[in-house]
Amino acid sequence: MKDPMLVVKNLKVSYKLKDRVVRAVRGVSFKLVEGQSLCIVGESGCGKSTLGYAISVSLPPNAVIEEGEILVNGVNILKTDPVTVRGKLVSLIPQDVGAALSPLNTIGEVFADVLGSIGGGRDSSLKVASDILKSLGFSDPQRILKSYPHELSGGMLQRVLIALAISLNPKVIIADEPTSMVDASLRREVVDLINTIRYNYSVTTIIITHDIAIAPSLCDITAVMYAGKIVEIGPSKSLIEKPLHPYTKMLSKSIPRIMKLVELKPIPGLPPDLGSPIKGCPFAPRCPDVVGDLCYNVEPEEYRAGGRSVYCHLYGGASHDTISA
Amino acid sequence: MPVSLGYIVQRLFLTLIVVLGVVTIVFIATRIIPAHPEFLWAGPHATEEQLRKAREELRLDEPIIVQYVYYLKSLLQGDLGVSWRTRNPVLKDIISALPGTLELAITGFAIGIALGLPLGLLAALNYGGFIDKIVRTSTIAGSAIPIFWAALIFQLVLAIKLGLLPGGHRIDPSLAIVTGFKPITGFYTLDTLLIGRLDLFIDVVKRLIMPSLIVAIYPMSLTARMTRSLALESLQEDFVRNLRSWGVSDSTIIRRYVLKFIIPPLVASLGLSFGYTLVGAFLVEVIFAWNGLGMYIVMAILSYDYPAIIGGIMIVAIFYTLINAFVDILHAHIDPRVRL
Repeated sequence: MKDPMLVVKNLKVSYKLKDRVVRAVRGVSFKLVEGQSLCIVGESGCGKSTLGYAISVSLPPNAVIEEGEILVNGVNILKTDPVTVRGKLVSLIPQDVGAALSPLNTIGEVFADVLGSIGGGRDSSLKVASDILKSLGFSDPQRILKSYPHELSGGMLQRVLIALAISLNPKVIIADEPTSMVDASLRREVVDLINTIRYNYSVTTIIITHDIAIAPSLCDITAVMYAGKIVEIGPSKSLIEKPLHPYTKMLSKSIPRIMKLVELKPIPGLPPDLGSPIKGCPFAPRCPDVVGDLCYNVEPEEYRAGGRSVYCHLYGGASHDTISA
Repeated sequence: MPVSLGYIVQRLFLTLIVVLGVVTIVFIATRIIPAHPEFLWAGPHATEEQLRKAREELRLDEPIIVQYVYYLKSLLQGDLGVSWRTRNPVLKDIISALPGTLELAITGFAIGIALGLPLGLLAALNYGGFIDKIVRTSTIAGSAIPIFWAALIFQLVLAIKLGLLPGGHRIDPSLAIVTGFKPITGFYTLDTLLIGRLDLFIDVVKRLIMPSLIVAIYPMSLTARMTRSLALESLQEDFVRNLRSWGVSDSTIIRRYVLKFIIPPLVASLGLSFGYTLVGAFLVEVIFAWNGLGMYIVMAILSYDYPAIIGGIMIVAIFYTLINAFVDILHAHIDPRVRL
């Protein structure tokens, strides 16, 4: 097997608020090789976006990385000058297309500054930018470079954002909810585009989404996050066809299907408050298969099965001896 | 795309209406205050007959509306009348007084912006920190302190107690007489350089420092506070985080993106505050015996010099509205969204 391109080891991120500390990511680990893609799926507030910002070194100032390592191509990016990491090793495809670019600057100015950050003049930067835009299917890149964001359609902006993210040839790209803000008709296009850049630039991609349905078409691996932790991770296809963790099961039952008439089952209850300590399995209060006191008191450990990891007592995580401890 | 000519013409027309309104109101206000300006015109110890003649000459016995029509008629010919106090044409007086005010107000305004903008940015970048607290407190104090009070305190401490800077006048009066200094443009810093007298220039600059710092307090506080809140707002925008994640340095983000957000609203409110700065300069002029339009208008008011009062205030109104029109046009030019 190839050396891993991205390694995340026991990452813990919290937000310091005025009166409390919110633990958004509570120990996440995974590995990806070059060109591999990972979908991170979960409800709002499960910590998936925080994880994405941590990997792209763009956490807000009140966020603190309490523990863990992020290695890109062997470099611990948390201990490196962010200027040498951002855009060059790791880059971000942002979520909200409408707010992603400054309305007062042309697309060309943004490209000039992004490409200019590795040196090189304005003219050569714009030349490179126009080539990237052309490779992403723009027939008239010069016009795009002269445009302001409000002069472009949502689909065009999405492509411009992808072009900006790959312009410095990063090793890892994080796409934050790439399909959530575009029209349904454009989703397919965005999915295809991300797949194209993944193959053409053999870049490792992480896609953050709440839409478990797009996972198999987009990513090799899917990780399901709940309350700041990964509860199940494995190859996308098998994970969605045969989910093991009760939360993954319930998530896939909440996907609307066009061809089959199935009753949609929303998951009852709310995720736990990450501002207070969590005892036992965080999903226990909402879990239909909860195994009594064990789930409420002991945090489940990793259980491996067929290339899959699942964190659930149903699969024999912790031994019963630890309950009294 | 440049701003359309029609828009500029429309703005200038509005300016004209505002100025006419100001002239009308000030005209009526001067005529209805119970005063006897004929005493000033006729001079001390005037006889009844001389006073009657003065009233006739100044048309003080005619109905206000008739006086108003006469005034407008000569105004249309560019004639602001003759000052009853100085007996010079008002326009000539104003032209010689205006540079003093402009020199003071522009210097103060420029100092205010030059200090306020970096202070505001610094505070925003250190949000919640020590620098932020200092900037916040001092700018609130700065916009709350009455200008005349600050002027008196500065004068007392810096000029009288410590003797660091001269306490008044635009130029050392005795030095001006000895050297036979005659203003050319009316901007003394420029004039002293034009005649190549470095010693006079240094004297003029030293005298300009204190009053312009006092005039600078308000625009500085306003600039710093607005810059701080606008910068905080735009630093939280998604696009700032995105630019950062694509590898653009923080200094580039501030210089080329955040400032673009800050400047249009800043220009708009600074334009409005230039009027306030002018008024502040008037007060400072009186305290520092500064030969400017403020002094001229105050003297005119104290001696019921109607043509000078109306003329002076009209010039201020013209300045104020022109600056506002200019700010609006500039705003449309900077912000591409305004043009849509």
